[in-house]
Amino acid sequence: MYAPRFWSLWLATALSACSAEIATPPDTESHRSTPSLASLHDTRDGPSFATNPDARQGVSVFIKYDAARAPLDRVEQIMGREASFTGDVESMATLAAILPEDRIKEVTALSWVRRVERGTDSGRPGVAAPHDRAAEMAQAVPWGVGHIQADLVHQGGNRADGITVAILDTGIDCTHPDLSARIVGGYDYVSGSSSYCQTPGDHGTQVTGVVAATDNASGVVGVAPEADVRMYRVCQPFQCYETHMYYALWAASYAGASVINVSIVNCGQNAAPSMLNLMDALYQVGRTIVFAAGNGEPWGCPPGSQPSGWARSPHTLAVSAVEPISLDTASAYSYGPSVDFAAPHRVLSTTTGGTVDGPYAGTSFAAPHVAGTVALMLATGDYSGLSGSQIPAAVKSKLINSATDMGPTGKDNYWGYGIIDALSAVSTPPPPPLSAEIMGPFEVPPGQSCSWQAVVTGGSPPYTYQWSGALSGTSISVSGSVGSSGYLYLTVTDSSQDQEDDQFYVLVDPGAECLE
Amino acid sequence: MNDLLRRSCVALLLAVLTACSSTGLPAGRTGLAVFDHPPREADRLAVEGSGATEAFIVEALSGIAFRTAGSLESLSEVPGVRNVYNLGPEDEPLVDVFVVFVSEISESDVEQVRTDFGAITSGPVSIQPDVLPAQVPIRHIDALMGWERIADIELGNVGSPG
Repeated sequence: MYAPRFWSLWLATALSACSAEIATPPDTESHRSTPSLASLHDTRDGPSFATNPDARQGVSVFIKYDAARAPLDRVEQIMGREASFTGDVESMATLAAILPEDRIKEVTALSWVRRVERGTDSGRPGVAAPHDRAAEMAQAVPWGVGHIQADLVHQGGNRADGITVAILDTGIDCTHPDLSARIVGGYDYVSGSSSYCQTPGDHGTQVTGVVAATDNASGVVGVAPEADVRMYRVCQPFQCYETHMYYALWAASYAGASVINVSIVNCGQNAAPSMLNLMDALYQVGRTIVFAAGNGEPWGCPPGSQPSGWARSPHTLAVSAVEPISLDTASAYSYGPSVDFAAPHRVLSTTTGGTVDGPYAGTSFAAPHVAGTVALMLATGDYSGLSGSQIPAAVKSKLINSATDMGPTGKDNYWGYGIIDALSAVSTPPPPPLSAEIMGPFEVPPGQSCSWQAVVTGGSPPYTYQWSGALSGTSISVSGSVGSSGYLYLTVTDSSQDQEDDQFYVLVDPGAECLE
Repeated sequence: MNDLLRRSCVALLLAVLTACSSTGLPAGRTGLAVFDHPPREADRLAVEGSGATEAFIVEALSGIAFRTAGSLESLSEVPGVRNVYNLGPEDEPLVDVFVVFVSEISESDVEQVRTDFGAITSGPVSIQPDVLPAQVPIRHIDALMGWERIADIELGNVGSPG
């Protein structure tokens, strides 16, 4: 049976009434006799996807259509051609579908279809093919896991045991043998229930597989194969709403997840200010939030699209994608100065079967390589002496120092600081926390120029300096005549965007000299 | 809620789903065109001139809501339009927003947003006690913005896995 495409408003009213006590999100702090979010977005947007589990086995395809000519029943038209799944990404004029191979030509001939691309060749986020568990005869080490040397970290005994990674995505196949032991909880903010165990599109299952597929005798192994996973379903499956993400980020943090992976992009649109404030607040309480940078033009974004507004936050890690062998950043993906790191994508084998030709590509699958690496780093115990923002700041500093620089020397718009290296990232402790102190005279004579110096240690150089108050400037030191007694303020920012402040009271006294 | 009521709700849901899935598609959908400037009557007419109907200005979101039987894409070509959001097939759609209050939100505030403005919300979280993520009928957005307790309304973004 097809999922219904549109629900009526009165249905929403009925559901709201019914759901008043059905779904109290277990992970959120504040519910206050909550009418659940159940059906809300189904009501608003209509679930622009359909599934048919009885359809023949198919392959993943991306159907680019002419938005001006495409009929409103385009999902139904594709489903009528024996698709097992069709999702409509209207803003990108693309249908993602799983279609029997012998029906592709027929779809290509539809007047409103511009072209059909096979998922394996598209470089787009994957849509899962049905599991072929019979093919899962032996465990494979995906190229990405091997390239970042996470498998060598595992050999040393670190598999991220005891670290919780939250994943905001489309849900997860909780029965998958590579994942079932990893899942410890979550929530479904789309339906307003605990039913995060579902797989429309299966994007969430694949992303989770990159992070934490269990190290066993079948399937694949993830970057952090003993990490605990919390799944927060916020997409349905091709539209992910910011308010759902907001609640899920908070819930994940509240539940104790120290790493949060968000493989969700938005063609460079700005994030809501409240969302940015929330992410800043979570950074301050020690959470490391990893975002996919975005897939640029191949995903239908305007040319030159920056990473998503969420990924551009200075308190999240934005991850771009690199190709196998060439290690080039995937052409035309979203890029810009906010890209922090690059990681493998084009996941040749994740949790879907044992073959090495999975259709999963895009920054969705690069970000979880970083999230898994952060879990391995935290599992070393080297960060346990830190608190609050010191933790994500030290994580970023260590990732910066351990990344393999690519392209122009230093940070660039494509690889950021470079390709992550899990082995290097866990092999040495993080740098000490950033510390900043003002040194100089505390009593000064009026009308005479004096100098004050910033003494900075720890963090991740280079540093930038911002002086204000009695004097202002942006150098490591500040000089000038202080007119009246007052405070001199200093803010130091390191390359991981961590900040430290200091303040220094300067007393103006006719009898003083410019002495410390 | 007892099991009987819960089962009744589920039965209602299933009945409605069955009915909805057999009634086919509605004639059109609602969209929201967000402008790079405060929209004026001329902008509203331009939206209607692009094939949309029932267009009205939503000042709080710097946008114009409309109905259309065609593609939303064509509305993005209206001068000054920065983004077009699909609000679904409903005549009275809900829109994702962050409602920023002038001070910490009380339970009575939440209740008032629900009852007076038809919003659905799970309430604020403690990290930002003055921010209420909510889904609000778009026709009530401007009235909500006019309430003295409200400092701002931010439009939520829509992302995609990827």
